[in-house]
Amino acid sequence: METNYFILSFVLIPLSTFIISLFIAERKEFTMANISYYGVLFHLLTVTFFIGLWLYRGAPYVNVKEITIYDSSDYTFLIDFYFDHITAFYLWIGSFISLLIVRYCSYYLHMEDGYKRFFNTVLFFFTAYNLTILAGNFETLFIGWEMLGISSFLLISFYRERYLPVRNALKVFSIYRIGDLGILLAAWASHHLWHENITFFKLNDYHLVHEHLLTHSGIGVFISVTLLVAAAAKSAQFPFSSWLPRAMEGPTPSSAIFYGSLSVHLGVYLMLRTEHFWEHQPFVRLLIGMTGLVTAVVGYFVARVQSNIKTQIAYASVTQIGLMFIELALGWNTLVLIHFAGNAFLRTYQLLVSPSIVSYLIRDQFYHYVPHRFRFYKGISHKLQNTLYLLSLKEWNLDKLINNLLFKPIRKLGYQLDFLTPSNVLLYVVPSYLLALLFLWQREWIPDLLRSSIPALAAFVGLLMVFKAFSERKYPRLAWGLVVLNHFWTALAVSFNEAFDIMHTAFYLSGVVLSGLIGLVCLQILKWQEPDYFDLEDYYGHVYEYKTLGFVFFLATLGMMGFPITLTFIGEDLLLSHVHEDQYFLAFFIALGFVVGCVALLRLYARLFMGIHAKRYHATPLRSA
Amino acid sequence: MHPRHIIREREAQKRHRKDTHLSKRSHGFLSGLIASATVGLLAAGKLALSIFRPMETSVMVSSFNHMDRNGVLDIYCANDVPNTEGYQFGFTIPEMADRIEGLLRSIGLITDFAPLIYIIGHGASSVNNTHYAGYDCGACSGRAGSVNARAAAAMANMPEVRALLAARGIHIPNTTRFVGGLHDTTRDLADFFDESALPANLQTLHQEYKELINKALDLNAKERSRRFLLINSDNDAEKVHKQVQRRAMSLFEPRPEWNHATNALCIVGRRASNKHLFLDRRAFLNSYDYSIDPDGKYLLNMLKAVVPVCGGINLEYYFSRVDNERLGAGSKLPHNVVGLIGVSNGLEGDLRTGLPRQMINIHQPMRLMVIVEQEPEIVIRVLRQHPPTYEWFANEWVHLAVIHPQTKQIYRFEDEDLIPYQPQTVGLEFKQNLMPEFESINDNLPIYLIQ
Repeated sequence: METNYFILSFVLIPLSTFIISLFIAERKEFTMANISYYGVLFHLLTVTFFIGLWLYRGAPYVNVKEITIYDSSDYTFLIDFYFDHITAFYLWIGSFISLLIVRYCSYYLHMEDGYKRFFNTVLFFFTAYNLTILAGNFETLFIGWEMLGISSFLLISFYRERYLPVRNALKVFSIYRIGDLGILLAAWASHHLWHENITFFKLNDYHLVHEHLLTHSGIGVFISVTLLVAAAAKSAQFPFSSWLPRAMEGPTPSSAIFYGSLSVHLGVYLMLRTEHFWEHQPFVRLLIGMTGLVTAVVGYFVARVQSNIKTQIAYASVTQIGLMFIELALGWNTLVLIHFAGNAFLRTYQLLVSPSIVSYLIRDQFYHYVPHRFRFYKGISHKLQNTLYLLSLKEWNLDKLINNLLFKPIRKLGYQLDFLTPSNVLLYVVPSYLLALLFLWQREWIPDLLRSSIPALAAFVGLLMVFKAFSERKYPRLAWGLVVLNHFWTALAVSFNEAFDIMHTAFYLSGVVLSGLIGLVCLQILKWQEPDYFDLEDYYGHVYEYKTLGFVFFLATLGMMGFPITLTFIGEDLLLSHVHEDQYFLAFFIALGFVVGCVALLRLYARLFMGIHAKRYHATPLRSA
Repeated sequence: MHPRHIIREREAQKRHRKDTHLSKRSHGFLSGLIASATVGLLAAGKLALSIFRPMETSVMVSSFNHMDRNGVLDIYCANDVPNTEGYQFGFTIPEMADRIEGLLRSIGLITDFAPLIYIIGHGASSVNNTHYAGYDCGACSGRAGSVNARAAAAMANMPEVRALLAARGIHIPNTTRFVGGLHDTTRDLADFFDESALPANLQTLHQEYKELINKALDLNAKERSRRFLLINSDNDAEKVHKQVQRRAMSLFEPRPEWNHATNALCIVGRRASNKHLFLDRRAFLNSYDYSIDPDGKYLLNMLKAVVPVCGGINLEYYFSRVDNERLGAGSKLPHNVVGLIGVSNGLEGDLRTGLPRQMINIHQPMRLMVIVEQEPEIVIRVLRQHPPTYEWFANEWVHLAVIHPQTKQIYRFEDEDLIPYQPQTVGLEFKQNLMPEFESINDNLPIYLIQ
C-alpha cells in the first residue's frame, strides 16, 4: 500500500513545489531558488529510496489506480500510475538532472528579468515530466504530454520580448501538437480495441494483446503508427528534426535540460512503454527502425557541417536518438536505456559548457594545430558530395518541408473563409447550427444518403472554423470565437451518435463556455485600450503593459485548449470514446480540430501579448536579433 | 597597428588539456554511440562535481596558463633582420633601452629606485565566458599580460640596457632588480616570474613583499565582493577570497568579475596627488610626473595611448548600457557560439556586438572624465599637436579637466579651450576604515578622504 503513496508523491512533490513557487514574490530570488532546489532534492531522495526498496523487493511491475475522476456506466476516466524498470530509469535520471539544473540556474539567472517565471516554468515542466513517466494509461500520459508542450512553449519563449524566440516557440509547439494528435488517435483507437481505458500494465500481458490483435490487426497497426508519429515528433525524428535546434532560444541550461536530455528522449520512452503492443508487428518494427535510420543519417551529416555549437549538439543528439529507435526496433531494450542515460548526460554537459567552446577550441588550435585539409571522399562524385554538403547546411530543408506540407494547406483552407468577419459570423453560423440542432432533434428528417456521414460533416465544419482561426490575420475576437464554435460543432457531431448523453456534452462544454467568456472579455478590454495594436498581422508584445490581463488570458487559453484546469479535458476524452470504431473521419476531424485549435489559440496569445512591444518608448530588441 | 616583434617561448609545457566530452567525435554515428555509453555516463559525475564543487577544469580559461612560468622567453635579438614575414624575433639592446626609457619616464620613475620594482601585467580567469578576451589585457591582444610584464622586467635587468639608460640620464643602481608578475583580477591571485634569478639578499625581501601582496589581494577580493550579491562579504577577508576564487571557476557564474563596469575617471598625474582619495575602483590611474616633462613630450605619448584605450573602454560600456538590446549584446544567457567568431541568439539570430547585459548591470552610463596634472598651456598645446587624440575631446566623446600642479586650479575643456572651473563640492568625508561600507553597501560609494 505504501507503494501507492510513494508513487503518488513522485507527482505530488513536484506539483506542490510548483504551486508554492507561484506564490513567491517576484523579487525574492533566494527563496525561489531554495524552494525549487529543496523540492527537487526531496524528490530525488524519495525516488532513490523508493527505487532501492523496490529493487530489494525484486523489482515487481507496479500498477496504481490512483484516482477515478469520472465514472459512469460505460466510461471511466482515471489517473493511473505504473512503475517498472523503465520508469525507474527515467525517473531517477530526470530527477537528478533537474536537481543539477535548478542549482545551476539559481546562480546563472541572477538579476535576469523573469527569474521567477523561469523557475515556475521549470517546476511545471518537472511536474509534467514525472506525470508522463509515471503514467499508467493513455489518458494520464496525455495530460503529462500536453503539459510538456505548454512548458516547452513557455521556456522557448522565455525571452518573450524578442521576436525569434516567440516565433520558434510557436513552431515547436505546432510540431509537438502533431505528436499529441498521434496520442489522441491512439487513445481513441485503443478504446475500441480494448473496450476500456487500457493500462500499460495490461499491455504487458502478451496473451491479451495477441488475442486482440489477431482479430483487429488493422487497428493494431493504426495505433502503433500513431504512437510512432507521437514519438517521432517529441524526439525530433525524421521528418520533424528541424525543431530541435530552433528550440534552443531560452537560457542555455533550459535548453540543456529540455532539448539536450529529458524532453527529447520522451519519444523513446513512449516507444519503450508501448513496446509489448507493437513488438509482434514486423511492419511496425521495420517502420520504427527506418525512421531511426533515416534520422541518424540526416542528423549525422547536418551535425557535421553546422557552424554553431548548439545546432551541432542538437543534431548529434538527434543522431543518437535515431540509433535508439533502431535499437528499439531490434528489441535491444537494455542498450536503449543505457544509451539514453549516456546521451542525456553527455548532451546536458556539452550544452552547459557550450559557451566555453570558443576559448577551448581556440586554445586547441593554438597548441595542437593541424591545418585543415579539404578532401573529397573517393569513389563518390564531387557533385554528389557538394550537394550533400549544401543540403546538410540547409538542414535538408526539413523546416520548410514541414511548413509546406502541414501548415500551408491548413492556412490555405482557412483563407477560403475570409468572408467571415466579427459582424457577420453569427449570421452564417447561428442558422446553420440551429439547422443542425433541428436535425439532431428530428433525425428522421436527415436524408438517408447523408445519415451516416452527417457527424463527420458537422465535425468538418468545426474543423474549418479552426483552420480559419489558425490563418486569421485581422480579427483576434473572431479567431477566438471560431475556436469556441469548433467545440460546439464537435459536441454536436458526436451527439449524432446513438450514445448521446447530455451530461457528457455539458461536461465538455462547461470549460469551453467559461474560458471562452473570460477570453472574450480579456480581448474586449485589450481592444478598448489598444485599438491601434489589435490584430493578428504582427506580434505586439502587450504583456509589457498588461501583465495581469496577459496572465488571465493565458489561463483562458489553457482552459479552451482542454488543459486539465477545467472539466473540458475529461470531456475531450469522453467525446472521443463516443466516436465509433468505423468513424475514422470523425475521429480524425475531431482530433485535428483539437490540435490545430490549440495552435491557433497560442498563436493568438503570442501575437497579441508576446514579441517585440509595439510601443517604442523603451528599449526594444531588433527583430532579427 | 601591426606587431613587428615576436617573443618566442621555449622549454614550455603545453598547457591545453583535452576534454573528451567536447570531442567532435561525440557528434559521430558510432563514435557518438560509444561516447554516450562510456564518457557520456561519466559526464553525470563531472556535471555534479562542477556544480557542487567548482574547480579548475580543462574547459576554463586560466590567466596563468597563457605563459609557462618555468619556460624561457627569447627576448634578446642579436641581428635585427626581419624574417620573411616581416617579423623580428626579440628586441635589440637599443630597442629595449628605448622602451624601458619610455616606460620609466612616462610614469616619472627616473630617480630614487627601490631595491625591488614589480612590473605586473593583468589577466583574468573564467569559465563559460564567451567574452573572456574582454576581461584580459587589451594592450596584449585580449590575452594575459604575463609575457609583456616578464619581458619588460628582463629588459630592465640587462646590464647593457642599463648602460644605455645611464647614458641617457637614468641611473638604475646595481642593487635594484625588476620582477615581472601577473595579477589574476578575477581570482585575485598573483604570480611572479624568474624569481630564482634574484640575488640572495633580495630573496627574503621578495618573500616579505609577496606575503604583503597576498594580504592585499585578500582585502581586494573582499572589497570587490561587495558588488557580488551572492557572496557574503561579512566574513573575514581570507574566507571571502576563497569564495571569490570559487566563483571565477563556476560554470554557472555569468559575472566572474565586474571588469571595467562603473568606470568614470581617468587620472594622469602623480600617484602622490590622489593617494589620499578613495575612488571606489572607478578610476584608471596613470602615473605621470609633470616636473620631469616640461615640454609635454611624454604627456603626448601617454595621452596617445590612454585616451583611445580608456575612452574606448568607457564608450563600449556607455553604449552597451544605454541600449543593451541594440548597441550591446543583450543577455548572454541564451548566447550560442557561432564559428568561433561570435555569438548569436539561438540558431537564426544576428551576430551580437557590444557587451552582454551581465557585464554592464551595475554600470552607470557616463562619459569618461580625463584629469591631467600639468600646466594647462602645455596640455592644450600638446593635444592640438595630435589631431586623432584631440578629436576625442573636441567632439566630446570624453571630458577633459586639467589641474595646475602648482596653483591646484582646475580647468575644464569646453568649446575647444581650457576654462577655469570652480568645483561645487566643498570638503570630503573622512573614513578611517571602509570595511563596514564594503560589508553592507553594494551600490556606488562616494569619494572619501582616507588619509
